[in-house]
Amino acid sequence: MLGDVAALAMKDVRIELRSPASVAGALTLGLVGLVVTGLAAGPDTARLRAIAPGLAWLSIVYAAITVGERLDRIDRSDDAFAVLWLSVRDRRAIFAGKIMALTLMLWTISLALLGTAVVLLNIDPSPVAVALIPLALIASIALAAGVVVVTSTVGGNSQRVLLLPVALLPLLAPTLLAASQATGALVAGTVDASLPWFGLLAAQAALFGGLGLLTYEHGAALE
Amino acid sequence: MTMRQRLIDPPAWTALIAVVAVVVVGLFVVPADRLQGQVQRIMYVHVPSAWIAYLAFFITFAASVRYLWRRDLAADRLAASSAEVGLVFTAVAIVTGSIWGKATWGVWWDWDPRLTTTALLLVIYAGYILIRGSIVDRDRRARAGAVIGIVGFANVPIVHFSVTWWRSLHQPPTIVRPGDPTIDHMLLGELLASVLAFSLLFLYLLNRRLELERARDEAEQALLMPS
Repeated sequence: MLGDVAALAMKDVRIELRSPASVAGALTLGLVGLVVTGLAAGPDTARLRAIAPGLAWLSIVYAAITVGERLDRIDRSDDAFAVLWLSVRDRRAIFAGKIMALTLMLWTISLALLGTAVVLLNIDPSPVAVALIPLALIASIALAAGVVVVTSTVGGNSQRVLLLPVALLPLLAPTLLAASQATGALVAGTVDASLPWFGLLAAQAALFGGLGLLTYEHGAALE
Repeated sequence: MTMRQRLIDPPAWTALIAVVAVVVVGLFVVPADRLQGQVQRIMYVHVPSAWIAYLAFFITFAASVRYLWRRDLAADRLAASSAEVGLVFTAVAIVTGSIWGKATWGVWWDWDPRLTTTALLLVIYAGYILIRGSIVDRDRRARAGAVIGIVGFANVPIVHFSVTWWRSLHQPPTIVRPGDPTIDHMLLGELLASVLAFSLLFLYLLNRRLELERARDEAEQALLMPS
């Protein structure tokens, strides 16, 4: 199964590398969000710094939905998903492969956006801010697992552009909250305050991942 | 069901009489809370509504698991019906909680973790109903609903325990807590009676909603049958 997971993840990564529309688009959207919010909220840097973690992670959540939807749409075009579905020994490998690929993409997006926010808002990060790297990884796994579970059930729907954010934003709210709070704490140099949020992120990742493994075969079954 | 059958529907009358009785007792018989005053009486609607919302979403979860396991359409109908009735009770819990909050905290809404998470629960199940409504294929609708019903329920423990996990403005648990309840015994009796009465109302509404879902399935089957 591990070989299938790696091969399926590489397939999605290769698609993205050949036409990097998802990651590039999500990064652009995130940057636009940061800049436009800066203009809308006014030049008060202290206020912008206070909302920056939440804003950055909200952009990353939208990126997760956008990128996850595109991966699912590509799979469903030209009956590619039917081939995929019938060719793997264990269909949970498709779920795990999708999570792995989406995690890699979201990790890239989140580190780039968080780095940009630090520069744009003149934030002097504490030395412990290096812990943002594993934080972004855990949050990316949680986001990817939640997105894959829901896109697999709703992805083929003609109204998915509306349904995916409606279904996903509330489900991913604890992830958004935990990632924002942990980011704020790490940038401020308070490691202790960030630890419970790390735990919540890990719990969300385990929950979505575990439930996804149990339900994927039913939710994503062919028509 | 004919109009005459509806008028002599015993479960409907039982639920109605029970709810009217607890409302009358809650408003006119039991004394007002010593600290909170008259506004505390709204708890006899707020607490049962919140309890039933939890119960309804648990039923949706359990029925969703059963559907995925057995492919039993009756379980899917139960899941969908319970989610819809639960959504109504969640809305009632939020609105009554908001009225209580205005009188007690001075604001209609506060970004307290439990309030916020309950609001999230409302939108999760609103999304569940929206997704089900957008899928025409019966089997696909049931499968998508079951997955969302299971994943969505994962949020319910966060709602219930958030008051313990995070420090919050919301009143801490007064009944389900270690040691004796902090609430007066007469008020506690009325509260438990309200929970029972609203549970009867829930069961009645759930049953009626199930009838509608069954009728819908039969209508869809009839449309698919060759003439």
